[in-house]
Amino acid sequence: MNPKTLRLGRGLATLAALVAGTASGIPAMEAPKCPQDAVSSVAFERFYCVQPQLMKQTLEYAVANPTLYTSDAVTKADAERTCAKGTIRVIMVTAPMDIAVDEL
Amino acid sequence: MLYRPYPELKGRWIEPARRFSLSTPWITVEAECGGQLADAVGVLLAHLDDVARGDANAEVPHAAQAALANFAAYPMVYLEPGTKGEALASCAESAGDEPSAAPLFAAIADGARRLGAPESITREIAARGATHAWQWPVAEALSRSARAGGETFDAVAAFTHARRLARCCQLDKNEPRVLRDVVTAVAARGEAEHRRLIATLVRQSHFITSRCEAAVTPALSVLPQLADDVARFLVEERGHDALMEKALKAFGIASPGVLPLLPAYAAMMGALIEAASGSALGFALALDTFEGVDVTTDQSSYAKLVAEAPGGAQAAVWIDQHHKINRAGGHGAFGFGLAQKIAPLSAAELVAALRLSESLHLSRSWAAGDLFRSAEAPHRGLARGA
Repeated sequence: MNPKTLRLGRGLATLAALVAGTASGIPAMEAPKCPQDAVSSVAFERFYCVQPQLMKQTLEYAVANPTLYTSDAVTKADAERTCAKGTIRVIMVTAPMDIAVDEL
Repeated sequence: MLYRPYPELKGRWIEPARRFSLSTPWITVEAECGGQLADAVGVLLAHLDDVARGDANAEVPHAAQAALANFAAYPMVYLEPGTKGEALASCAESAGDEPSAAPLFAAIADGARRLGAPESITREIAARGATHAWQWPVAEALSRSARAGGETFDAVAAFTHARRLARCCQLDKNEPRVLRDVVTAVAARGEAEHRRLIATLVRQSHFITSRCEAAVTPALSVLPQLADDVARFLVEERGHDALMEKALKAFGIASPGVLPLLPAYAAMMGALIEAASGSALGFALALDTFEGVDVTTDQSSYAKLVAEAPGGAQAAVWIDQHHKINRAGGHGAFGFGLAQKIAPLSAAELVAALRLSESLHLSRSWAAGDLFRSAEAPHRGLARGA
């Protein structure tokens, strides 16, 4: 399957809100939402999506519930290559203070 | 949740309505946006300008919050409960009445002992901690995290508060600069001393990675709400110590134990096992510290430091590989992800987590001094083995 044509059966925004609500135990409507135009998806390319934790959980949820949330067969690898259209894309992150000798 | 920028956050357009940067002294993010999100980013940048001009109490516009929501995983944004409460006075009073750090550092020293640190090190940890007076503002953390009713506290809000305090602590102590100064001073004594100093640093990384499983495993049973993630994390961590062993061998060090273990690093791991043994938020904060930020720059600062040492090029390859594995796995967001799964906290639980995080960062601030002392007296006063 071409990840560029991955279609989510329900709006990604709704799904993201649902997952965030489930994860945090707070009502879904309070959860951060992806933009409403984020129903279809684009290739992940070099970028990773902002709100990476939320997006990862969302896509994993979609993979785990394909009949509910996707209209195509979708693998985890497909999902991880996929990022919502219309979101802010982070293209560079630097941490000048990090000399992480203590990295696990 | 509501999103509020850290006071240190600055922003600017790099290319109007398309490319922008957000930065604090400890992280810079460059990003692109389009469509309606460009408007939201514009509102955010204008708000940050207002704050920089002195309007620190300016209300965060809704659109700015929408833009900030995209950066919640990075240490630049407070998240606060949407229906916020006021911390009950009784909570705040009872939670902050432990002025001495001695009991917690005794526990941390015991944790380090369980991870194999020798007695001379654990005694040193306990002695250093006994003189520390808590400094992080507990009342402010409670106030920012209070949920409706004021008796329980949001873990994500507390996490975002504590992660800023942690970075401010590093900034205040100027840790990276001090570490570089130590390396520069020792390097001036000659190649052999420079190489040994950097190998000693790598030896600390080996201790940390080789004790990770033992330090984290208690969380599997004690923190059931985090158990699935912890199990996955442990699988991903497996074998990282082998990379450090290879780096040490590249320096000609056959066994890590021939170089000293430093109290700073033993204490950090003692704090990790102590958190994993009972404080869900403390554990999330500890892993946030240990995993750093998912930077996208090509080589880690640590690998660069190692590469600069005489004969350090090959060792740096292994250090950099470890860094890349963690970045590819998104480990920089792991602590934040855990915090989202933690049920509302009591005031005592929140304060305990903050104390653990403060202890971890105090221990970290000892590192450069310990390293310098190890170079001053390589055969005295600092334990080997472990």
